[in-house]
Amino acid sequence: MSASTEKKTAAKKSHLADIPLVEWIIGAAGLMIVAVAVGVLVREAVAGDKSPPDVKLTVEAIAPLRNGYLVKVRAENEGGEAAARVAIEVELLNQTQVVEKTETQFEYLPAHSTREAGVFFTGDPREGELRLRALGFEAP
Amino acid sequence: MPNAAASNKPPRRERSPTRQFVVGLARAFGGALIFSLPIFMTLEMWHLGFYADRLRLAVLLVVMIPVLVGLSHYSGFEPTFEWREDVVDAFVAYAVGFIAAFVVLALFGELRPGMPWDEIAGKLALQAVPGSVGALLAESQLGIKDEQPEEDVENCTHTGELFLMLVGALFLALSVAPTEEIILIACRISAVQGVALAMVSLIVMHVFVYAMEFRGQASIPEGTPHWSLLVRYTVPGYALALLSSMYLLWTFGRTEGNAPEHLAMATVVLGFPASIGAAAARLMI
Repeated sequence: MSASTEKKTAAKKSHLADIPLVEWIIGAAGLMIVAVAVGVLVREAVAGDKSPPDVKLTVEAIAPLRNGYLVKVRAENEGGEAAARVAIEVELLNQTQVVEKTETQFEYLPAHSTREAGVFFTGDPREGELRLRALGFEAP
Repeated sequence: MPNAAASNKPPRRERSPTRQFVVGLARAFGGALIFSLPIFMTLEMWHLGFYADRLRLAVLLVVMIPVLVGLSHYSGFEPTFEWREDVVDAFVAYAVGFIAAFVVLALFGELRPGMPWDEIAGKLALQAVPGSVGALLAESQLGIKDEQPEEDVENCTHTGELFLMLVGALFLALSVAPTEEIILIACRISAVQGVALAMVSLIVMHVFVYAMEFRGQASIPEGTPHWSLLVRYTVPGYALALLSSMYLLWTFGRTEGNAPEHLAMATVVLGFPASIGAAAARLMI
């Protein structure tokens, strides 16, 4: 409109033209990183899984130790909510008889995430059958 | 302006270079203690000393070298004008960090005779990192401002600004990253709260960046439009805060087995202190 406004915009333009291209490139890269982080959260907020914690337990490995055996257990939370202090029980069965029973717990089990733990047995778990069960959890 | 002020200053007492160095060293120890005592007294940090992945700890120690060199360039316990001096100062800061960590951890009974060397090394290495940053920050906080080569900070380039943000982000995030609370908060809050936290981090950072403009910094001329500052400083600064948060979570073994959404949440939670650190770095250094 007026000459002064034109002057102002011209000054603004020249100021912006002075800024090196690399600063805009870094800005764009930063924008992308922030967009990814926020995007993942927004997707989770809009279409995220809201199901309760659902713990799947599997035996990862059995290793003989000096006095007994170590059974490595992997827990996967297939639910959409996080669980804390997930207590688990592992039973060693011989036919239908429970020979030994151990337990341990996972401090945190976020949604769709996995954690590992270990339990000790005196008898060889490879000679029997292992039964794993999640006992309960606390809402974090 | 700084030149005019410098010429009006009363003549300072002459100090021998040795005395200056000793005084600087004493300040460095003070800084290492003030800035790192909270983390020296954190349970998770002691535990991480023996269970953190050795290779990742080594990577952290190496990554911190260029960070300390750069920080020494902008701050540091000796006014430096040359990169070689900055490198020396960075390693002196590391030494101060290690010694301060050793003394404090030994006093707390966290280092005992008969402990495996691996555990002692792990604990010291981990604690030396925040200690060394504290040692370098000491000068700008505890030192006499006039002795600083002020031009260094005043005529900071765009890259320099972002570097200072990175240092601030790493430093503040480092003091909370090992704690269990980060994981707990990430498990507890909803995705909506996570998004809100990200937005608040960005807003707070931008307020700091905008406030800096009023200080008449050479790198940010007056009248720079808001969106230009946002895209060139705030957003890359927040991105650096998020990246350093994720890096620290990885270093402390908090990324394994986690779903992307949990990882994003933990990063944003840790990104909050990181972004405050990044934003405030300019005022601290």
